[in-house]
Amino acid sequence: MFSKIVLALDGSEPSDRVIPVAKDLAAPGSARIDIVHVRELIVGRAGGQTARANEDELEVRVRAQAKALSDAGYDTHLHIETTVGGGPAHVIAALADKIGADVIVVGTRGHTPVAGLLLGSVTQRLLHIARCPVLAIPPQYERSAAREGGKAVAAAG
Amino acid sequence: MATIVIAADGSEAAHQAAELGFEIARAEGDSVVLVTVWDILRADFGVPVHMIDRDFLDAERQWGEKVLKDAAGHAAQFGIEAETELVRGEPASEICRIAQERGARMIVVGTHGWGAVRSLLLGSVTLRVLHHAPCAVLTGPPGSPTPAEEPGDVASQG
Repeated sequence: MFSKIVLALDGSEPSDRVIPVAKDLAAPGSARIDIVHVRELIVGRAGGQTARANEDELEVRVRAQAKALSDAGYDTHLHIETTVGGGPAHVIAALADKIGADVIVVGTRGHTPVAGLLLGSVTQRLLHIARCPVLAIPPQYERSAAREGGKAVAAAG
Repeated sequence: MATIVIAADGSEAAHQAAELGFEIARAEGDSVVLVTVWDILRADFGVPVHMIDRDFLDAERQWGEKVLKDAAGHAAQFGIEAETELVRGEPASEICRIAQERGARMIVVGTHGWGAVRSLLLGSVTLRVLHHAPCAVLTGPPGSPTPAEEPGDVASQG
């Protein structure tokens, strides 16, 4: 269906649900999937450090997800970008603009540190600034994961 | 075969989003359920419910019927025979409820509908749908917003 998909992955669990959905939407044989993972840096008195303590681990996971998509025959491109002081959504939207993406696929979180904010802040900002459609996958969505692809399914099936 | 729930509210954003939904449905062979939610609160003039007369309610319902009929006609242009559901209530809850009942794989909504604050690019209904959706939510496309329509804080955020 879509031939250029931007897949925003942060290596956390919701992203694992995002991959099968992207596969579902990808035009068979011809789709290009651009995975973007944004490293957020916080610059403080101690110098720069990643916003997420387990950033390296998350990045390893994203690389594995990219490889899995590539092995499954998708024209996969991995972009690992770094941003200082927030703004992953802008990085994602800019990439989507650059490659003329048909859609951005992104997972939303069940909760964030900000009380009452259920929707991930990155997703929310993306919805404001993206110039292409955004497909948001909520954490409660599991149907596609059960249908095909994904390590969890391979292990279960 | 799966089901795609498409919200119709007569707005340009919803119209454009619906087209995406129709294209996906056509490509995937999915069935389409068009949903329009009407309620007197849509007008939101702070008028107490008991003071609203029957004609007003009827007008709102008729508005819903027309929106839904137009949306079905729009679907037909894509060769899709869509089912329609006209319901009364809070839009986001009703849309999510129907998606849940139908085991939908996707909800399609515009990024903003007819909310009172037009400058808010992301509609409150859309946000609420995103919070409560049992399935994937496709929003957009945002079209080409004029600078005046963009939220003021975007430009200042690096």
